[in-house]
Amino acid sequence: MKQKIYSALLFVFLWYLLYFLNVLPAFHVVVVTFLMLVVKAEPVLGKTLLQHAASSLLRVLAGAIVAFSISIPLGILMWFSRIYNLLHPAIEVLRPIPPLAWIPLSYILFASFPNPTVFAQIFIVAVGAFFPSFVTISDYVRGVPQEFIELAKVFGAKSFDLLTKIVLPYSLPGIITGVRVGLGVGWMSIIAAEMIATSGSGLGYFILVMYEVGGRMPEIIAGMAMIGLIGYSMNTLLFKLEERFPWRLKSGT
Amino acid sequence: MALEIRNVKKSFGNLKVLDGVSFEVEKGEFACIVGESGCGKTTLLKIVAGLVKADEGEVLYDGKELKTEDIAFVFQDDRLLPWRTALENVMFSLEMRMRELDKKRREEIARSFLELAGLKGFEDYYPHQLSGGMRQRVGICRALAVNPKVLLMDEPFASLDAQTRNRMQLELLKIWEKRRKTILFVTHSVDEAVFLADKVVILSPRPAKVLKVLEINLERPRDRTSPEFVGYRREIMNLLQGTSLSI
Ligand SMILES: Nc1ncnc2c1ncn2[C@@H]1O[C@H](COP(=O)(O)OP(=O)(O)OP(=O)(O)O)[C@@H](O)[C@H]1O
Ligand SMILES: [Mg+2]
Repeated sequence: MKQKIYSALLFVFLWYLLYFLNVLPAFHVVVVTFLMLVVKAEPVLGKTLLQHAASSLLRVLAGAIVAFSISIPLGILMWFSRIYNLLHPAIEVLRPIPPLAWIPLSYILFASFPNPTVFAQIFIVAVGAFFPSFVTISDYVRGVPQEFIELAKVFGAKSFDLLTKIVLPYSLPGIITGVRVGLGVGWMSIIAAEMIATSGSGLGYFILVMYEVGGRMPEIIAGMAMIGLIGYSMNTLLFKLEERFPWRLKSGT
Repeated sequence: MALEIRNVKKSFGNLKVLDGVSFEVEKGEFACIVGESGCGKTTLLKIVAGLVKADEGEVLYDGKELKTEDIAFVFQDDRLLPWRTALENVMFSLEMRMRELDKKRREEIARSFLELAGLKGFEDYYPHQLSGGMRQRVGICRALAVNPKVLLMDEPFASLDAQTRNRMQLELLKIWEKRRKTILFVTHSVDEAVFLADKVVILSPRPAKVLKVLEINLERPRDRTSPEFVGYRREIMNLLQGTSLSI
């Protein structure tokens, strides 16, 4: 706790240093702007910061649900060597393509849809969330100790039992890690996507517009703070959940 | 004759591990297998369990091939599933092997074995909340619950401290006396073998062969300090040492 207070004090101190150097607006000005924006609609777009956050979150949620409903089952199936050998090379080639590089393609794919930008955004989130979650889950699944498999076999387990009674429960903490890292990348993707494929709302769109209408630094930073806070909360919440599994492997971040 | 191990041979690549192992165990008999580290005891047990295929030879029970569904295995590491409670760990073997039973019945059986093993009150503990000895007992319950024809135990007490180990030996004997199972028990410890077994199978260093099958004719509970007990120990030690000196 003490460490956290020192860390916060240092942060605020450095901020004011930058303020006196005329780089940033004053810290307290940004805090006040942030609080105002949370409760009161900002006139240019006519929405509060919370409304922008809500539309970003909804899109992330939609994209993440799409991503996880593929990455979780597929990640678990990677336990079978045959499926692993089939999918692994393809995944490794697709994985380094940044989510934003999919935007032009997604515009074409969703051109005939009623609201192509939103679909494109959700698609970008899905791409962004899919790869890290899939890779995390499949790595975990590949690490199921052979000892547990042998144990199950000695008592007569069939393939399906191995999957449902050993691989799946063993991998549960890995699945939550996968969801956590997937949401993290998904969140970054939606903010970026909102700045390129704009659609009238969202935190990414908000900070872009605040820039375009005249470089309103306090509003821009308030928007960034909201993005950071939400990302931090999602990560911390899921991390707490992961820690409840006594058999989880140590995960890095 | 209940369990017959006949001329079992096994190599891993160029490494000859078992070189024609043969011995017999009566129904309800407690047999210990001793031999130096790396001689192939675990391999032999896994062959009996049907987990590893022998290159040659056979394992028979009542004259027929012994199948995996006839045995249960207690591993050296307790190998409990960390996401299951003690009770659920015992139920695991029943879920796999006795699919016809409903959940309630499986739970009853599991509870009765935990009680038999002195674990009443710990049913809902997770493995990491149990002591090493308790975990081993859960592993033994899991194996006994499926009512195997042959119980295979691979150094189940090796990781325990001397005191816990002695207590576990007594408890195992108590359980065995109540449910006469044919037991094949691998151990490093000559003391443990003489304390537990009706019959000790002494293996040579790799490639393993049976040096001798020694019947232990002592009343239970056995006194580790009695001259007869010490005599059996000495005989086995001499056999084991004699061979390792002659390599
Ligand atoms: N799957 C395997 N592949 C290759 N070699 C193996 C395999 N399993 C066992 N071995 C070898 O077979 C030999 C016997 O191993 P085993 O585990 O049966 O010995 P052990 O008598 O149980 O030893 P310990 O008392 O130390 O447990 C060892 O030299 C080991 O390296
Ligand atoms: Mg061994």
